[in-house]
Amino acid sequence: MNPELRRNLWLEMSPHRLIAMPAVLCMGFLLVAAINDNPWQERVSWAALTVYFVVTLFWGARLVAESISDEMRGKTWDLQRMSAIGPWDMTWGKLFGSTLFAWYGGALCLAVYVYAARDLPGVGGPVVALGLVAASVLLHAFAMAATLQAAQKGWNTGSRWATFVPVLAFLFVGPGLVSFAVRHPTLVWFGTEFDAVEFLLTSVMVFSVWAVFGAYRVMCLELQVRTTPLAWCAFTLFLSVYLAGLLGALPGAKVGVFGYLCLSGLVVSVTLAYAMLFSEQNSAMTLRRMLLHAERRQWQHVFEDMPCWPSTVVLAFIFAFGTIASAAVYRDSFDLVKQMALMPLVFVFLLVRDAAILLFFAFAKQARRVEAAAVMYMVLLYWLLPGLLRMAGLETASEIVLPLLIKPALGSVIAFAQAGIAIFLCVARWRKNYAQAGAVVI
Amino acid sequence: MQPAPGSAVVEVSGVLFEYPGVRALDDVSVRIGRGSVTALVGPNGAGKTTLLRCIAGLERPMLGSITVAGIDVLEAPRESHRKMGYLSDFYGLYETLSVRQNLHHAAASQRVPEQDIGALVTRTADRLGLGDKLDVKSGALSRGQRQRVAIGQALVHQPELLILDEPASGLDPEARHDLAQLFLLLQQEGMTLIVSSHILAELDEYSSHMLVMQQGRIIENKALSAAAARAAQFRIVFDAAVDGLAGRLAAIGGLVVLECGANDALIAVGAGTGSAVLRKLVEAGLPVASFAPERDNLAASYLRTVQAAKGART
Repeated sequence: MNPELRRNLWLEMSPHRLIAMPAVLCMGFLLVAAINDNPWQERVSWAALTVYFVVTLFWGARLVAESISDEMRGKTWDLQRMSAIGPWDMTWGKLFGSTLFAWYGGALCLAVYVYAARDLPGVGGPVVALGLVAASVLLHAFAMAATLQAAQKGWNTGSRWATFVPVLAFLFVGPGLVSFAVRHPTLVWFGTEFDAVEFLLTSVMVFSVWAVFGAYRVMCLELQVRTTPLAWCAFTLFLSVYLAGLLGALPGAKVGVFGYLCLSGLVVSVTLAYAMLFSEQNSAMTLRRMLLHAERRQWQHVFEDMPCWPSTVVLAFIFAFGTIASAAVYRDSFDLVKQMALMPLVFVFLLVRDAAILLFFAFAKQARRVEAAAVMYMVLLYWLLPGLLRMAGLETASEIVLPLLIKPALGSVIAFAQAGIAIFLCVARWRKNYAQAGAVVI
Repeated sequence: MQPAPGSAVVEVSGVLFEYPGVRALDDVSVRIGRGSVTALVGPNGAGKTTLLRCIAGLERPMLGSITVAGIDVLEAPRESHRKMGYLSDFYGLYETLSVRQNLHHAAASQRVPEQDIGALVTRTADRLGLGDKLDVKSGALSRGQRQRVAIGQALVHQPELLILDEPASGLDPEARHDLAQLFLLLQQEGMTLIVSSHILAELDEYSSHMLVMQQGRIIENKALSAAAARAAQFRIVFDAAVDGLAGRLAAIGGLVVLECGANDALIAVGAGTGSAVLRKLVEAGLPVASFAPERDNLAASYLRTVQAAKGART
């Protein structure tokens, strides 16, 4: 048996808990069923779903996140890292081990739900149950990956955010998707019509597999097992293709598969590059490690030490040029693409500038609150400064600071210049503080 | 085939490790022989813990290579862990699990075959004096007992290399002595140990080698138990002060006076001639109260090394 799963079995599944959970649930559902004389099925099925949300989805995500952060606090994490358990066994052992009790309660709730909803109209009970199981795995895996990532950055409150953010996203996105599936029985993806419920169910299942894979990759990093950013690039491409299929359903969209792919790829890669830029380890030592390997032409090690965001920036450039090319080809058919013209370049140059701003703070001698400082300067550059300049009647100055609202050709030149200045400052700080880091000893 | 005693279990080559603005390990290369007990000593911030964590595969150095029992720690850290055990200076236990469960989990985590785990857990607990505590929750143990459980977790899978960072901190003198006896027993069974500690007297009890670190570099790596060298020096204590002691000692053939006080002296003699020299001393009418081989004390050796390094820098 997976040692991590067994350890959690010892911890989580005491005879008392095994009896208490069904007893409490049974009494609760009986109470709900007996509340009034109306048919009990609807009330009980909703009660079962609600308890499932609370116990398995949300509490489960919390348990997964805490299973990591508790070990770090309790100083047992080094023991785990020193074990011979591989990253995959550690991932699934923790993912399902730490949530065993939550799954136990969830399984009982889903059984009650499927039974109570068997004669109710709408989507079948087993389909909903399957969707919820996949959504739970997705949320739990995301919570695990986010907690590990936060821990690698030294964020002590990582587990809280790792639970809070996905749960909030689920509450925000979940009902919208369900309501969409109810209102639109079919959905078009790359020109093919699919049953909306089946499509959503499949999507949740596929994304849950990606989430587990993501947790596995972050676990690899934590356990010092070498990885490269290729898997992350594969996910970026997958998400780009997935969303490109949906773009075809937009009214007036006739730019061909290549156009959809580049457009969605641009949006996805820029978004994910920002997400990774702020969540990955970007210390001066990361770059120094890469440079030391590069000096010795150890390119495989350079690639292994590289964070994921630079490769996503490269993808953003590729998609930006692709979008510009498709806009030139389909200039009369798709308003959005036509209007964008060189705009994709502005976005990616601003992305590079923002990355350089973050690295500028990361390369300080005593780097502290790097992300907060970068966000502050981004708020200044995207919002406060252009707003103040515009209020003062300095329109041109405002456009130079924020080159998103001018002609894209000029905007891309200004964004390029901004990126160049930010990179120059970043390199200067690196040279000053770290180029000779080896000379400094304790 | 069993590896030969004295062959290297740990080979560290050109290891470089930096924290922002600080080089914690500066081109460190070292070989640790099989069956040795190496005392890793040095001032705070010398890089001892970083080196131990790199050997254990918990930190990845920027450059260099590390092998343990022939396995590349940087390329295959999980495989290498089966060959070693590590006790951190800040260790933790699963408080709500019993001692048996903690040890069982540690063994299973190192991929010990399921059928062997029970016997190994019992044997480890007995060795550590925890045989009667197997079903007690770890959270209910005393500090010393917790420390022993943590050591048990590191050695339950019978690793070839045991790495211990400050293993005796917080232990009472009796527990420290027991720990020293355990380390000697493990060494006799062929296990290799690397022990980092600030308590040099304690390391002196069981260390066969000394590795001195300073400012991220290894400034000394030597065997302490060179039996011949030890036996060649004797400390003599006399019942009372002896006039002209140095001269009277020098007049006796077969010895060299290294230090001389009013009623004691340190001499060097030829290998295997100790008893003959003692006889001559007595025959010369010197009031010998004690005549004992002078062990190369680890603390003294460490201080000599550090002072020599300081002298070399200035």
